[in-house]
Amino acid sequence: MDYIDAEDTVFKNVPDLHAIPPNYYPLVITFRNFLMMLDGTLSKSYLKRFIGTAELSQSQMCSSRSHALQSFLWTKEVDYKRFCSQYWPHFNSHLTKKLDPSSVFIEITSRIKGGLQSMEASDGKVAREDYVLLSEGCASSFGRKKRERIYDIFQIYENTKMQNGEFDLADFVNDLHCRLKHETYQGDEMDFVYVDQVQDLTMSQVALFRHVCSNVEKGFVFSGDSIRTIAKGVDFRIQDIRSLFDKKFALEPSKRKHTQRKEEGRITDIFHLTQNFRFHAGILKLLQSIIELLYHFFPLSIDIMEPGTATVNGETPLLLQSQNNENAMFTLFRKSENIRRNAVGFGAQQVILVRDESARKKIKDWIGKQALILTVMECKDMEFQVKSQANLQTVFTFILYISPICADHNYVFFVGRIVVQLFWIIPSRKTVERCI
Amino acid sequence: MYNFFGSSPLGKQWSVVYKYMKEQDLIDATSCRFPLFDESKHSVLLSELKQLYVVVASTKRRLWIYDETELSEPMFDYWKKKSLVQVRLLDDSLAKAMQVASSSEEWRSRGIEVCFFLFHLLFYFLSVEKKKINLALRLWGCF
Repeated sequence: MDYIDAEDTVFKNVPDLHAIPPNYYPLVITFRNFLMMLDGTLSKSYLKRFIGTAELSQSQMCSSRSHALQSFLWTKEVDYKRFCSQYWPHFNSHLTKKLDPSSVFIEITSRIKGGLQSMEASDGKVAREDYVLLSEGCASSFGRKKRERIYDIFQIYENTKMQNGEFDLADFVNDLHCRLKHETYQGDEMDFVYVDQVQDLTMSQVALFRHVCSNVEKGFVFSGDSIRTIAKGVDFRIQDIRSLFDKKFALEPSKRKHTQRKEEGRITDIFHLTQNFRFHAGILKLLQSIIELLYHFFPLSIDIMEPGTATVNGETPLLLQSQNNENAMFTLFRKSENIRRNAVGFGAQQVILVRDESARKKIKDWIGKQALILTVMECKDMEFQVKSQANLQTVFTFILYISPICADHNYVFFVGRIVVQLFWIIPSRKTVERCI
Repeated sequence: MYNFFGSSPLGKQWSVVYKYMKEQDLIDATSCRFPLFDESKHSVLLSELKQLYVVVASTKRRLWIYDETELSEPMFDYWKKKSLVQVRLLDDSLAKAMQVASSSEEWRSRGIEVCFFLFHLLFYFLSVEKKKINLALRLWGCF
């Protein structure tokens, strides 16, 4: 199996989406590479135009997708982190009060610039009136006045971004949509598209896949988990994908093959993975109680799912009550303070979870090296460690399993962000050091 | 899970859980008072619940929940009412039972596990592309 990626030796640069050698199928690529490949396949490359405005020598411009240029490009991208660190502090405080940057960025990327309605707008951005009037059923949790302010922030953000010579992924995607409206996609036609971790993509990003694959009936598989979209700048529900799919994908006649679509208003199937292999019953019930609260307070923000069933029983979670108002940490680790060396602390499979770095420090001063202490964010990483391993395995077994059956077809597997996920373990290398 | 609610930006607004419990007839309407939910905290509650989900979901076998403050009471009551948790007094005997000491071998194997994962990562890139190693190293540098 071959891969195409940013540093491919055969292609030197990221190739276009046409005439990809057959041995590169099934194609496994990240979403960003897909964007760049699609960009190169259409005329008037966005990246070339973008670089044209930036100060770069003529020779560098010739190969618009060489590695050096790509890395240059992605330094110009405004993502969630950069939005919070470099843009948010500069907004007027009367605009930002009582708003937090993550939810504003989600509103901008998922609703103003990347939602279902944005695709209908001519410039890919929902107009102020439309945004403010978005019906209550649109899953947004903001009231009218706040939406007004968010739209102000959005406009300031757009201007500053332009002045700084920066772009965000939504600009790139909207430009692709815009060009695809006027010209037909000439690249390789894909028969099947598998998108993993789809919760990380916005609706307009998902809609791009429609152009490379016209096999609407059977060609698309999306998989993801909407509860895991914590602070990434995307607000996502599987249901939205379904409505997008039924409205946009299935009903729009294919531009290339003039096939008539008879079944109108069809409903795409959603399969819930209800059998849970990861948690035992005690934990699963606790998780379901949290999901219940999410349903109750945010019925429009997450997908309704059937409760899963666990395959094994386990210990009920314990609520600890401290004795005589003594801090639990003290009770737990007091004894061993005096007996050094062979002190009984927490074992290698046990961990204290705290909220942030400062809380960790406080406890660390207390108990020293008697237990591993992880923050919420790190525990997300730990989870990804398990998850990405599992993901890779399932994806690869899936590929191995189907590739002989349909060797003569073109396949694209958009293994969204797997590589990125793999790297997310690295920030917690402190944890690694501590373990070793 | 140590002090998750005590350090929550939601603060006293966790008591909005009582509103749900009342609707579900889990509590007496008269016995408990809860404030009206502040709408500006809405998105905070969403992210807090998601974080709570992630924390609980990282458990493999045993979960102990401890909170210093009273801010945790609404959620604790909710779980107790649904009998999803057991309450235990943390005395010395329980403290002893909680500490599952690992031998140095176990610590080592845990370290090896992590190393193995890093190698897994490395080989993944090696198999993808020999030049990938450069990319991996550069990214490591970035972090």
